[in-house]
Amino acid sequence: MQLSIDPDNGIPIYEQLIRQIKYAVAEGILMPGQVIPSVRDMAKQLTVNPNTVQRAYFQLQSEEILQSLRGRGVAVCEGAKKQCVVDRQQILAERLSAVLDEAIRGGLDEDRLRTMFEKALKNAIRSGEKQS
Amino acid sequence: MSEMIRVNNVCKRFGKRTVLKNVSFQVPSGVVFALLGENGAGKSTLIKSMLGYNKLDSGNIAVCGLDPVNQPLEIRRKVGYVSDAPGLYEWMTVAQAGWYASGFYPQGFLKTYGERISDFQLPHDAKIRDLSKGMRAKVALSLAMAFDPELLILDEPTSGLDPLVRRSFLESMIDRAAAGQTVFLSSHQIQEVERVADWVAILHQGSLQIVAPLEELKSSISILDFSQRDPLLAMPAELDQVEVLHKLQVGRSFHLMVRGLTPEIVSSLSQNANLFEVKSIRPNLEELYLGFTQPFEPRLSDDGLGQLSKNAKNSEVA
Amino acid sequence: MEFSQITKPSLWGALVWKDFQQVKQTFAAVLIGLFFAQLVLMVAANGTVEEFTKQGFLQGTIICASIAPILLAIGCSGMLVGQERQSGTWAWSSSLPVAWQTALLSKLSISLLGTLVATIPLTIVPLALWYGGQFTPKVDSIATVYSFGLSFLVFLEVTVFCYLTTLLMRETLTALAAAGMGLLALHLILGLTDIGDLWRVEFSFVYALIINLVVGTIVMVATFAWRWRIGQQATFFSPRGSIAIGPPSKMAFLVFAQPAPSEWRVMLSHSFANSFWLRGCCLVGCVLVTLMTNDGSASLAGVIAILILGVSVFDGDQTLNRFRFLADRGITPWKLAVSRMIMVLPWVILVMLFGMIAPNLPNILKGSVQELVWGLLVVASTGTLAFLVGALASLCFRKSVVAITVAMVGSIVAVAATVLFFAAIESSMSYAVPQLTMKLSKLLVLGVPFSVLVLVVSILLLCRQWIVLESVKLARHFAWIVPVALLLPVTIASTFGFLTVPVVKWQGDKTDRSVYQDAYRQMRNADTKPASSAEAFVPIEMNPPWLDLSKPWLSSSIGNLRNLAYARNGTFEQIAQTSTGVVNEIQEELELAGADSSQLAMDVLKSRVPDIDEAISKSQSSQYFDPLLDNKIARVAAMATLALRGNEPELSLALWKSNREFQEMAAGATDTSLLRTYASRSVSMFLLNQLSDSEVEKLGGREVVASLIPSECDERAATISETRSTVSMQRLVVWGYTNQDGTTVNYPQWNIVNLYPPLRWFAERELALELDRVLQINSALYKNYITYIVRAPLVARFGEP
Repeated sequence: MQLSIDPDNGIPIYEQLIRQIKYAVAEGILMPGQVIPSVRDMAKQLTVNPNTVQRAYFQLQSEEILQSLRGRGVAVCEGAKKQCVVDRQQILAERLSAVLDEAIRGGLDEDRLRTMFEKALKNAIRSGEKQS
Repeated sequence: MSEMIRVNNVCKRFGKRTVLKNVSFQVPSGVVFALLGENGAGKSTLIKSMLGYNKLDSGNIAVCGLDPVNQPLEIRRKVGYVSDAPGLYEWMTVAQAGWYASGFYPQGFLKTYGERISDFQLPHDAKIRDLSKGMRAKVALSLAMAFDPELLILDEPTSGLDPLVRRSFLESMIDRAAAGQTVFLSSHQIQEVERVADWVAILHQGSLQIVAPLEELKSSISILDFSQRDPLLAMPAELDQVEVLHKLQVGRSFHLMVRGLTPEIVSSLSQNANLFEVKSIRPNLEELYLGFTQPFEPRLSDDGLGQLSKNAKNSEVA
Repeated sequence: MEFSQITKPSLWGALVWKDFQQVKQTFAAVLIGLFFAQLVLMVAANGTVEEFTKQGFLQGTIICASIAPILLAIGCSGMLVGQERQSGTWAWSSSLPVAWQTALLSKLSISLLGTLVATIPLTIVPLALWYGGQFTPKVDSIATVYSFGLSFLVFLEVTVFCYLTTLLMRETLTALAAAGMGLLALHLILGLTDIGDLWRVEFSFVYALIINLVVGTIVMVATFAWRWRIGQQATFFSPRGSIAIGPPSKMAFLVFAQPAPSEWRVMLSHSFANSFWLRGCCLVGCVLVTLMTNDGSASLAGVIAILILGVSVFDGDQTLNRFRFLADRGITPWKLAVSRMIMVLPWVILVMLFGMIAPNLPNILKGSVQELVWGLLVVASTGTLAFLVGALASLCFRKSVVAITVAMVGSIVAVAATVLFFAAIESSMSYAVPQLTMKLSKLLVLGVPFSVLVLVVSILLLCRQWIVLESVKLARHFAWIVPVALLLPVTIASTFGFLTVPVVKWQGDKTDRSVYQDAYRQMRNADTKPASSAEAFVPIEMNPPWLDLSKPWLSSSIGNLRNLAYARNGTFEQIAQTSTGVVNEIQEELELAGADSSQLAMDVLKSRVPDIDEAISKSQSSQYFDPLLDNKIARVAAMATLALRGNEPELSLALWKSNREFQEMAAGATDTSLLRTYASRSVSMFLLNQLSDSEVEKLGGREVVASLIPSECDERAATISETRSTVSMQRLVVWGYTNQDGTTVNYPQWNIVNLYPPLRWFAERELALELDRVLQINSALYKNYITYIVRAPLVARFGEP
């Protein structure tokens, strides 16, 4: 599982970790029941503060995406996938909204924007079909 | 105990020059505490005072509850220290250096040292003088960690080292933090500090600018960017509601570092007719650092000729 | 290596091990160097015959043992304190949980115990020589032993001071020089008058020693504790700061005002600023020693100071990489090396002036211009060589302490080898060609330019390697360059020395070795004891056989012959005086024998006649020259004179006849006997001429007296002949000789001259030259001088015999 943390991009590190784990679960890269590295190991792997990792795990546990197995580490919950898919959609929605906000603020008119959107959507679907 | 290091109103002068001015802070236990500051800010002096190498002109320091000046030996038994120039004996081999140092600490030193050396993949029989700079730093770190100290003090340990070695150091620090020990780090490598630090303190020209948990800093302080259409109009009134920590003006564009910025203020500013391109971003550590250490100074004027106008007093914040 | 299986050391164990590791090389170097020097001295002493030089060498072995503690004190403090501080390991060690007391005790105990242990092997050679009986229990030897004991106190003193200065100063070498200088200054101030004269040990020396020790220890301990506590505080805000490079700060203002300085100016000013204080300390220390002593130790201090100055040439570059900074900017290495060396030369010259020439100034001014020039040459050569050896050492060894030690050891060894060589020559040649060693030593100066060339070229070539390669083992180059360079003068002098002697035709006898052998054998067997009845004659001392060799066949120096020749030109007055003296002597003897009345005296004289006859016949029959003959002849003449005065003409005539027989025998025997008896024969003839006319009548008239005149002899020819054979014999000594049973003997023990042809040619040419000179002198003398002065008047008065 490849995780990368960018401390520079304005999003808190723990938040980035949460998002990436959720994406991985949503994609199926992390299977339910799969054990992920402990706080210590994850911190070393990503070279981030263990407290940060701890915070991320804690939040994920409270959202019932991860569960702590006593003595054996932390594993993905059953049924976490659904929630993660939902969360990912939410995140994407937020990102989309932010892009649109920026476009409007930048002076793009609605028609122009819609044309751009249609075009991009068509391209994305086409490349998505090619992949699958 | 709750705090590993307590620095209380410390002043230190060398001759006529004051190196530390009324520095006070506390380092809780079990955290990674990073001290940032430019060369000559006084970081090394502070660290040396913590270890008892300096006598303070005023104020006091307590490390693990002990006074460094009066009880240096006890402190050295509890604190592992890696300086930026390790000063190891060139003629000793890696193994000999560990053997030598183990004479001063209790049992178990050698075993832990051996583990650290294998972790770092250092050759046992190589003489120190034949090792590269990075390997020497690793040896120094191994020696400092081999007796499992409660507190590890690192004074710019990775300056001049390659990224692989730096990563090794980071991992070691993280290891210790994860095990519940305290790490006090003085560094320039802001990106690395950003990843591992729990607490951050910024020292500038001998004075402590800020000391706070990193997360708190990042969430309470924001970068506010905007540009003015008409430079002759006054600054927006919303700015009075926030604490402006640093301001940089380039022509009609402003780059502010503020504390206490709320989304409402941002939206209010966005609706201000005179302002455009209003943005608020979460700062990274480098921006925070620059903000706390750079003076308030407008830079280039926007007349297209690229001339420096240091004396230009453009419209200041009202 | 499994770490968990290694037992951890104790605190003391770890510290002591670490300190020992740091000094073991220094110990080894000093120990080996001094032991080797002792061996060389011992061998040189065995080869020397002259007692004074021999004792000097033997005492040298004790001195080697006594300077060991002092050298080790300096070396240990340099490594244990200075090197630790300079390399930064002090900071790390002091960051470990070690108390300063423990650290200090560990260092001191290593210094002290190590020195005690290391000095023991150095006592082996002196003790062996003592028990072997080679040391005579003279005052000087005892003083030297006393100095050996005192050296341990001095060791403590030096340790304390060196620790103190290396704790306070940044650069080790400067600190050590400052310590030495400080100690000298303190001793001077506290009233020492003369270090060299230890037999009359001034109480003030020990007194000063104790004060220094007590006060110094207190200050040093306090300083150590302070330094340990503050770790290695970098020179954070010191006024000079940590300049990496550049002209001295005074010139900073000028930098902006002037155009850019030339390359040479930058390099030279940089070189000037390097190690400035160290060089100053050397000069001041040297001057202090000059003020304190008035013997040769000032010159020795000067040489040591110049060695240190040499080591300071590249010292800063080794530790701080300053050299490389300039080279990185494209400046050629040889230019840098030259600039470094040139700026030290003024210091070297100053030391030579104040340290080596100034103390000897009174002697210099008394001597001739030639001696002055020679002295200056010696000083300049020694100084230049010492400087270059030091510079090469500083290039080849990273640590300045090691460089100094090695430079000193190398110089000592080279000097010792040269001295040994000369001792061997002296012992074999002192009887044959006495001036050989002196002349050879003068020729050393010829070889010095070659040594200088070798050293300078090797410095310039090596410095390119040193600067281009990161860590290069230059030490092994030093090990062969320095012996070659320092032994070049000796080699060149001995190999080409013979070319400096003009070739002169050999005018000696082509004497066969067998003749020499015979003569020598006879010499040894000959009974030279006088006849038992000759108590009236002056007894001779039995000289050791090898000195006898010098009697007729080898004069102890050709110079004696020369003096003899000049003495023979002594005037008439001298002969007259001698005559009167001999007569008075006989008179006194007779009075002592109880013969106060002239009759009794005459009886005594009569009773002596048979003895005289016996003596004549004995001398006649002996193949060998009777050393008493000279004396006998004169005494008989005196007796004859007294007999005549005592109114015994028959006795007198008999004695006169015996005297004539003696003279004839002496003159007819050999050239040697002719020459050795000139004084007495001239005295006899003089006394004969003193006869008044009435006395002549008493004896029997003019014809009788005329018959008493001895025949004419040619002393000049005799001198020439004897000189020739004498020098030929000496030449044989150079070749050695064979015994009757066929075994070869080189007399004395080693004849190094025989083994090395160029030296033999040198000796032979010298002999030929000397012979030629003497022969020329003798030829210029009056013909038949004795005959001319005393015989001619006799003949004129009495007619031919």
